[in-house]
Amino acid sequence: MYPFDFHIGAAKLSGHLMFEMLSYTLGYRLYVWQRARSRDLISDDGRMWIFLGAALGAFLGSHILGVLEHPDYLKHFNIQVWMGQKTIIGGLLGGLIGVELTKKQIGVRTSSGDLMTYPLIFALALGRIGCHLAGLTDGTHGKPSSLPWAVDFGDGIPRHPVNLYEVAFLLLLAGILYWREKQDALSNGMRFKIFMIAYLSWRFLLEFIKPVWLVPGLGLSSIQLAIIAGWGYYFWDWRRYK
Amino acid sequence: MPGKTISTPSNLPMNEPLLDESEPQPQPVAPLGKVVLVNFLIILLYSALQNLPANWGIKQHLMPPFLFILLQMFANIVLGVVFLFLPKYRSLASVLIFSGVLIGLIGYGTCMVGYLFFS
Repeated sequence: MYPFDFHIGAAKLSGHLMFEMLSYTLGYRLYVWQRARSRDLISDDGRMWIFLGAALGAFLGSHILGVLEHPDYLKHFNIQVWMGQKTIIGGLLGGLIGVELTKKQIGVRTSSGDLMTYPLIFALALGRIGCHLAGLTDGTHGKPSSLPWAVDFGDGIPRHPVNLYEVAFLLLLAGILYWREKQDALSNGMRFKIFMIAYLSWRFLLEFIKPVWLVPGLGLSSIQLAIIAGWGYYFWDWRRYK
Repeated sequence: MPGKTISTPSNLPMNEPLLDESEPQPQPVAPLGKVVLVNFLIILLYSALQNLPANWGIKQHLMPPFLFILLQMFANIVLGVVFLFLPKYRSLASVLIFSGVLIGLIGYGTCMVGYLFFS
């Protein structure tokens, strides 16, 4: 069963790749649909440059943190190692830096993340289904577990299906955000901040049930250290506007 | 002269746009979704073709996926940088560069490549 691939005649398509592309495509369609129904203060051109800043930041952030997650690979470091590793947390934090730098450059002062929040949640959930289908090859599986819902990815060891936990968390987060906004409109930028802080906190906890490399003396993974930096940014941001 | 209406800015309808040819007109927005979708289809097609020669019992001679994706990524970025210097196509330039970075972000680290090199 794992890794799950789609077979079309003699051709084979990776399930992970399919879901990852689907996540970007449908996430973007959701963003376009939402934007058409809201009053966006940022121009089309401005949005495009912000996308570019986000993609560049995400590209660098995801690969840098991805390599730091497996320091053994640094011994044989080359372009394939660099490009073969990536993490969502690195992508989100790198994307955040990329967006802020781009907005400063093009003179956009309003929040740009609110419109991206639901598309990001939707895309992350779809992407995580892809990670689950990839099984052990993706490196995002959980620690061995004896819980009744533990999944055997093909090596005979039942493990926490952490990617499915994440899908459930993301759906719950989207539901809570939607319900909260129905009660009372959130201030500009708040939707994205709530999403980021909630997701970073969730991932911090999830790392404890993943077989990850821990930084000696700290007992925390590279991703958890990056998350602490992310919390620091939002704490600084909160103090700035307090 | 009685009865003659003189057209001045004050009696023009408020929503009438005043065209000033000296002002730069907004550029048409490049089709981000379409450019990215074409790139995705190319990756999917290549990914599907990858295992065909082996399945048909012939020696595999297609280039490795990481090399193909690297080429696709750089083709988008180089084309984007070229368009960046043509003011008329600046919008398309950003779309192409974005697509290139996105290909690099997606293409690697999925099973298609990560699986081949690290399993």
